[in-house]
Amino acid sequence: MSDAGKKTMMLSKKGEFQAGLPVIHKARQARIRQVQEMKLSGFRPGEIATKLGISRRQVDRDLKDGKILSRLMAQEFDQDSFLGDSIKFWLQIRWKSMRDSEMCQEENARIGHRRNAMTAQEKLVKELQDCGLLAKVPQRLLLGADLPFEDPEVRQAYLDFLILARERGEKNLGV
Amino acid sequence: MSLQPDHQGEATSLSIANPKAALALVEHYRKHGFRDAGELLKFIEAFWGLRLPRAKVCPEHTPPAEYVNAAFFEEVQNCVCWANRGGGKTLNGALVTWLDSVFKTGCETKILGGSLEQSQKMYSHIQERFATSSFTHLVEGEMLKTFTKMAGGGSIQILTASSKSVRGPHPQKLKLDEVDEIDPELYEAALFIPQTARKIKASIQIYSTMHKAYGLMNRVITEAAESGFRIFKWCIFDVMEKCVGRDCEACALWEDCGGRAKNADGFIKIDDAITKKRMASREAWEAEALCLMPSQEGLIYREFDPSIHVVSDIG
Repeated sequence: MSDAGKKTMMLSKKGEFQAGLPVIHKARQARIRQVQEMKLSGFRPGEIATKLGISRRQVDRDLKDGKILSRLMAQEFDQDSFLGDSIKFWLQIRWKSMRDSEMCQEENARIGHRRNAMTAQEKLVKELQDCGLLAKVPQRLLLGADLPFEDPEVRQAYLDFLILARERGEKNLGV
Repeated sequence: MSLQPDHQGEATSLSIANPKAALALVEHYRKHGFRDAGELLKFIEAFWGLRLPRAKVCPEHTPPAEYVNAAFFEEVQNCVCWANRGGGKTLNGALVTWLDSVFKTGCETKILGGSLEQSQKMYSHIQERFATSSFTHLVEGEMLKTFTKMAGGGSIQILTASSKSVRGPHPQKLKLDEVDEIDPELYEAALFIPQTARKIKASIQIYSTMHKAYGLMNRVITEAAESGFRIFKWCIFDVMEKCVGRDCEACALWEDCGGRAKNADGFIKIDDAITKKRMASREAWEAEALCLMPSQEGLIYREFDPSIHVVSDIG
């Protein structure tokens, strides 16, 4: 293993040495990531070597050590932080979309923003359900008796909804 | 409405059911009526899952949906539904009867069939298919075997095929099912049953195939214009499912269909129709399925044709 014996780099949270894993200088870590990115972008090892001004053999070594570096990073991955960030992201999208919808003057754009908010809400609920943070899922969607049936559009929508539910095989329609 | 697995992998049913919403809508229609024919048809489909064929398949016929609308909105008082076997005559009669009873307060209907069994068929459709949970509160007491009293004064009653039963009180609506099987004298007496009351028009609605060459249905149809009966006629193609992807040239129905079934939106399976056509005689197929002409089966001289065999002058 190249650069072995130089005790500078540890990826563990507390900076402790982990037995069985190589130690890699910070400067080399940066180059390894660069080599990995170029490889993923489609460059050949020879091309990477030319671009970075290193030998072809060094590129091979960096790619090999890169795998170890990735493994170390995976061990350091903080799931809670990632999940928290993701939840925060969807909440922000929902909040922003609702705000845009309220501020918007144009009707079509307003509907578009609301759709975005609904999508964000769905994603958020799904994410929370998938990770087990949201255990309760709706059992029944109740349409109230106080629906404004004097509005023809409401009547049509309600009847269309029942027809669609029948087509989907729903038995319990309450009719 | 959809089935979604929950996070533990178990299916969770998401139901849209709320009987209160359905009851509220029924109440709305009872007070304010239906806006138009389309809304009525949609209501029927949503509440009973019954999609009435509405496409005009044969140019000279009327689809069943047109009959239901005309009868319910009282665009027609007296009418005859001349339709194929299995074409939904009795079911449509039951539907209109129930719609009248539910949405027209005080509407009374009597049902007379060719036999008590036939009358019961229409009544059974009402009991089993249409008197669902959203409507049972409108029934006073329970639905009895031959009689249902509605809250608000309406009723539905089935009559036995006897002269005594037809000489009773006068409801607004009379349904005659399979008139070809009804005794002509009984029919004559029954015509005097309906009477307009409570702003609900009197009407006689007749349902039948015409399978007797010189039967009562033949007479009713022949005299329809004179008697003021509007004829609603639909054949097997008017209530057939849409034909998709079949080769017309190789189809056993081509001779009668001529490609019309491609516009259909009904419920009779094409394969069933083909089977029936293969099994039945041509006369029976024409009378029972195509509603073309009465069967001459049972007559002594089947091939007798007055235009060929009768001459005005000999010598």
